[in-house]
Amino acid sequence: MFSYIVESWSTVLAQLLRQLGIIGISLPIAVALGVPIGVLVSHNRRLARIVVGVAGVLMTIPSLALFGLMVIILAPFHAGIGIPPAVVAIVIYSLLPMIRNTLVAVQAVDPGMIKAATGMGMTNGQILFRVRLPLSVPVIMAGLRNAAVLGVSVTTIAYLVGAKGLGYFIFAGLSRTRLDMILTGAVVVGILGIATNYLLLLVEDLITPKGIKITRAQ
Amino acid sequence: MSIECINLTKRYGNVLAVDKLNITFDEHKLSILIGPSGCGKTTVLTMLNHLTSITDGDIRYDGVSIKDIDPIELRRSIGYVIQEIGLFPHMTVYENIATVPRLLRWPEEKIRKRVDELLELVNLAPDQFRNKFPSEVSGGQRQRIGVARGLAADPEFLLMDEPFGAIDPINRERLQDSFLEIQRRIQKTIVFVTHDIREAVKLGDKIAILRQGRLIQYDETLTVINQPENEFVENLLGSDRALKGLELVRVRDSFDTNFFSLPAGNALTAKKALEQLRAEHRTFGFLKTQEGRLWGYVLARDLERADSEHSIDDLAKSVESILPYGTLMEAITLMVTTGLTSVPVVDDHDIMQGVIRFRDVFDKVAELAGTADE
Repeated sequence: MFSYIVESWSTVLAQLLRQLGIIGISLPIAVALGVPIGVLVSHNRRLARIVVGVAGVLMTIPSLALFGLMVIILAPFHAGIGIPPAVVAIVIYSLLPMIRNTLVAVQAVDPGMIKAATGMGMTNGQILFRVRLPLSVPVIMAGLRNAAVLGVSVTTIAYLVGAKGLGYFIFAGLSRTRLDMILTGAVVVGILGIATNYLLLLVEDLITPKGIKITRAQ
Repeated sequence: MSIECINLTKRYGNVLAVDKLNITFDEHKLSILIGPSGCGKTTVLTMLNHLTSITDGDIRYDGVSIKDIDPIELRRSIGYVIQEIGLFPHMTVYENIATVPRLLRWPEEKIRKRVDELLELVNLAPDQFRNKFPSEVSGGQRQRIGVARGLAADPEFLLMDEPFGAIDPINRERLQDSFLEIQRRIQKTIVFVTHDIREAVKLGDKIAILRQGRLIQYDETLTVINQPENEFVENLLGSDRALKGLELVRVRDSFDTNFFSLPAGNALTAKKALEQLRAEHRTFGFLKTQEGRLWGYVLARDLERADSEHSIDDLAKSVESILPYGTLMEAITLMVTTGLTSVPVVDDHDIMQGVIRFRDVFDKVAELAGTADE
């Protein structure tokens, strides 16, 4: 395995960057969709149940089946293979953790605090951006980490629809019965998952308001 | 700058939470809303800043109907203080207090000055507290910060919803004392909701008693204690309402400026002093210097034992005194601790003004309790 990595390190690096690129495109889209949806449905209990339910069903679709569907649905737009189906799949899988965590976090904010904020003359927008969202950062970030780790594994399978990435080593290795290739793919994907999680933990630490960290430490 | 409620009504479905309430909260006064839970006191308060919509009737701020004021503008112009949970944990003390000034887009320099001023007003050192987070200070301090935040934009009106409810009794007393002192200085028009009758009596200029959405009685605090409207109010005040009244009555209204005293400054011998005390049938006497300053007191018992030519100055014992604006509660506490049946009243310069006697205090108790004096 090591000799394989040493031999073809440029391929490993290229596919790793490719995989990171796909995840890097997908996660911002997941955040941009999941957080607003979570905030929107938080006002309506019934709607929230329906949306979380639908997102939950979407998540149970096996990724292979999802890619199959995607190839057909996206084909008219000439986007059936390559990066687009991979990105769409990751976004779909990310919806549940993003929406659910945003919803839970926003709803968990102390009603007394919201009452105080309203009573002092904050508009709904000000309450959202100055109170609810800052207080929700840790829980929303937990959802994002969940989505990111999921993204790492889904992207791997996206090799089958031509998205390339680290899936190459696993699937090409399987067809050529080359254990060293398969192992390289598996190990690099594993490390990538752990590293992504860790990196996002650092980001979380950076953007969590200091006051919350102190409160949680107690 | 008064707040006037006219036929104010709130209905939730078939439940009448507030029923045709007519009440005026006077300018610069602290008015208490009190009653058992579910009496509508908090509903009234939240209607005042439009957190709860009005079903029927009107609220007028200086004659202007609340319906003609933008709710957001209205809330920014009214201070609002609730239990300590209302502080934002992700913001520093500074940012918390600066909330409304920032909403009003004050220049940062003005905000900085105002925050320091307010922290000093509530007895918190600005340099020490400005950059702390709410979780880093004690519950009592959080509550002071809440009061400072309510006052941040210097509102005319202040609404307070059980602001000291979550504080332990000892700290609550202290917060109430310092809050009274703050109100004496800032003179805001305050509506204060509480379920604690002691707090109501201590803080309120006027007390409004609510029951099932209706106003039972609204009077000056002393009037409520003296003349409870009905049995419900009597029960709310409790069987010790006369004692509660003592917290309200100041010494200056009950002390006697006509008092007996002995001159200090080596003017009298023990023998002469004893003669004077006996002539007056007294067991002790206060000593006063030529300038009228309180010197102490002597017991007749001690004079009998002493050398008859001895100056009484050396036999005098020091004594605790009370200021005219002290309360009768403090006076009676002093009597119990010193064992004397009267306490000297002095002004700020220790000049003796008179004495307050146990008898006078007890007359007041009887008056407050409404019991006949034989």
